[in-house]
Amino acid sequence: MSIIEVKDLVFAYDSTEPDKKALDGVSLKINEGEFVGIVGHNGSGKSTLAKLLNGLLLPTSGDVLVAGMNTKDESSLINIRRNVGMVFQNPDNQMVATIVEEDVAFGVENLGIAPSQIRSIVDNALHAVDMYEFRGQKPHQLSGGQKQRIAIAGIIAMKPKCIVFDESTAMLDPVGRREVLEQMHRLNKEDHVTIIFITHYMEELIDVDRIIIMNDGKVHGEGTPKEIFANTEELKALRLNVPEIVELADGLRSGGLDISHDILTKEGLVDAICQLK
Amino acid sequence: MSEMTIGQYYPADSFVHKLDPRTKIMITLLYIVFIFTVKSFVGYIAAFVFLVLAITMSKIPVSYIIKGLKPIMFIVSLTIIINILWTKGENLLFSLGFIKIYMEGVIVAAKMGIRLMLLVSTTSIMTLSTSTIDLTDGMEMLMRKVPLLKRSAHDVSMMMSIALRFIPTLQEETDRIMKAQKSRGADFDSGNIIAKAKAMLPILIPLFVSAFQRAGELAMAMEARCYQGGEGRTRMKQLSYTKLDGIAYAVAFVFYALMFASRFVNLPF
Amino acid sequence: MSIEVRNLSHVYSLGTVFEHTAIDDINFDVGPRDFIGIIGHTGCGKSTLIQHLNGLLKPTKGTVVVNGKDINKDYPMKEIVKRVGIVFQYPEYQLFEETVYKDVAFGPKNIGFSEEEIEKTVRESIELVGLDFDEVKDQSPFDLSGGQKRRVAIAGVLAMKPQILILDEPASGLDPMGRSEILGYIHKLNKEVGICILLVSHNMDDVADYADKVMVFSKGKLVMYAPPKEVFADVNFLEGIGLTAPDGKKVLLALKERGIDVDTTLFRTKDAIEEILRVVGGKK
Repeated sequence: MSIIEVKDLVFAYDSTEPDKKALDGVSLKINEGEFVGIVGHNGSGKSTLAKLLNGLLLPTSGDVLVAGMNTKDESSLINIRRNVGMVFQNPDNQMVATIVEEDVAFGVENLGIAPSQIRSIVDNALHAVDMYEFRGQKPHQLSGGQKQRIAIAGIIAMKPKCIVFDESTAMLDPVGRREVLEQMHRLNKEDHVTIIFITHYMEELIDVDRIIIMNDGKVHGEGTPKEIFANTEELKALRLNVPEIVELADGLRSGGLDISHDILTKEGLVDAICQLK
Repeated sequence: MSEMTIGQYYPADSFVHKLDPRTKIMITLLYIVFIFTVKSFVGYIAAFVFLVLAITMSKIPVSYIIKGLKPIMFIVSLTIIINILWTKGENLLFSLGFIKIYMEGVIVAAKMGIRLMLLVSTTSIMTLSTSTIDLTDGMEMLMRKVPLLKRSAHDVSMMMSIALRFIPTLQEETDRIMKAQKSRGADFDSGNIIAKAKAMLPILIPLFVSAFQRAGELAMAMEARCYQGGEGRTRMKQLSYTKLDGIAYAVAFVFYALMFASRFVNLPF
Repeated sequence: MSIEVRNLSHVYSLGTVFEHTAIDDINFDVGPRDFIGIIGHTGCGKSTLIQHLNGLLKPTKGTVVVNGKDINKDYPMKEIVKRVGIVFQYPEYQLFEETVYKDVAFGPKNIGFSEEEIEKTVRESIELVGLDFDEVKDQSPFDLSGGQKRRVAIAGVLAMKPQILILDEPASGLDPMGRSEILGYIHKLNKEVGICILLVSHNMDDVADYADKVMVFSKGKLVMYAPPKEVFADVNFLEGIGLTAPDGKKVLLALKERGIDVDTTLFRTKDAIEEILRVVGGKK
């Protein structure tokens, strides 16, 4: 069953210039429980798409349906945002409060939940991202990865069915990126939260269910990581690339080795090479 | 600028930290009122003892409070100088041409200086011991009691809390931009006032651009988390008065009484 | 153009409860035309170090000598920044002028270039980062795309004609192609223009591809300064300080463990490919 359905979506930022379309006829479906990666060059429309998924932006034409609710219907907006949470790129620009636990509580408080329940919801969310011991700290004392985990806690406290990560790993160091990535997978596997993950780092996408490629405001293609990363040349033409391991496998293949196209991990590659020996 | 402690929270487990923010705001406001009723040094001693007591009970290091005084030292010095020079009296201490300094002037100046420092120290205990959310919640609740302020109470308190939240972020940002422009040979120290003001543009413009961008992103992040103003919003932490607040009020009123009573005590100083 | 750093330490908030040693007794030499990679976990002291190299921070102890002169004694700030340029992370946040031309000209103007020199260097710098001078010069930098802004900001530092250029994560946040383009231009600056480069990066593959020598920082100390071959030799050590090895290296190591006799001192992806083809392909 699909949780998000996008139909013929067109979006222009400037209504006086309707021809400058950030999105131009996008249609796609995201299934419940799916982990979807979205890639595309800078300016390809992926972040714009993300903001349309929970009604932060409204379509110029076309529709976005979240669990059957249309984002154009103003009375459903709160319900839509509750179902589709969002973690943004810059960890500093999404923290409202000066204390970690109060920031996590912000969204839940907006929903008008009884104060007696908020405490335990917030504590659970902090435990879920393994940041409970930091609950009394100030956000600016945390590392980038920790700040993003707090942002995630603030979202999961609202119990969304789906979370959109809009380049949430872009400003982090490798350790922070790993922390956030692991968190996403845990949410997807254990709590069956649908994940939509926008990123420039191809190696972060080798474990996702499906990758959607955006190019110049349109969906260029989609497929499993194996299918997508089998076309190195095509990706490079779209200003993208493949994970380093795939690059290595490609090199071996053009050197005459019989290596399958669907290898994405170091272990897989090593196995394949050993079998040739 | 990075030395600024006003508006920053110092976490600790203390009597003062546990007080209801409304109590702290009211006690601080009343303290400020009463400090201006003090007429004699006995009153200042009372005010000072109250401050020392508050610092001790708050477990905030004195160095923090002193650091908070630094940015206002200019205003304090100015006040002192003006009072010394402008106050006329009978006991001439010193004269040089048209400058005449009287004993009375020195006393008035000292009183003003002490008042200002006590005022700022007490206020910083309040802000240091209260998380900004508590502080703004407290203000919001108090404002709601005032008919004229009732409607804008939530918006004002939300704006304040966000402003306070972004102080450290923008400080870091300023520092970063300044270093980047210095690396491009920008000179912020030499030249006259106009040259200096002009030299600030390479910092101010990027700072504004980034502040606007941050504001836009934050607004979006808040909206994404279902924010729609104060209407229908609940709070995790409910403000509630406890026995401690009663004790705090009682103690504070004893000191207010002392401060006020000092007006009527006839002492030579 | 060379840098010599001796016994360099920096302590923040010295004498307070917040006292914190950011870098501790750092010693190294950088020669002309070197391409140095600087790696280390966040908070390891890299950014404190680079701010010492153009005088933004003063050493608590030790000296920084550029071209035989102590930068904190013998040079005024303007003379240092002429020689040592720094491109900070997300440099596009420093753009402020009305046009790209004026913004790039800001640095050279500050350090006293003549009108003709400025015009020449602005054009050259904008072209060096792969932008079309005539197309962008009159545009507002704020109207450019993210990747273009980044390049204009880098050009603004290049225009001061530094002989040493320090870049802190110059490619972060860009799409994959943008990333490799920026790194390509930096490589060209080193090889063709002869500028000494110090590149701070989290990406081991980038460091492996470009650096002649690598500095490894951990907890404020310079724990290793050697050619990449030696730095990437001890993967366990790197992982112990929160770093990792390039993927090519990891594949070679894993193959060796499985009994395939590959040369594990190699670390670049393209070298790994050749090596595997040599060992495995040869048998085919």
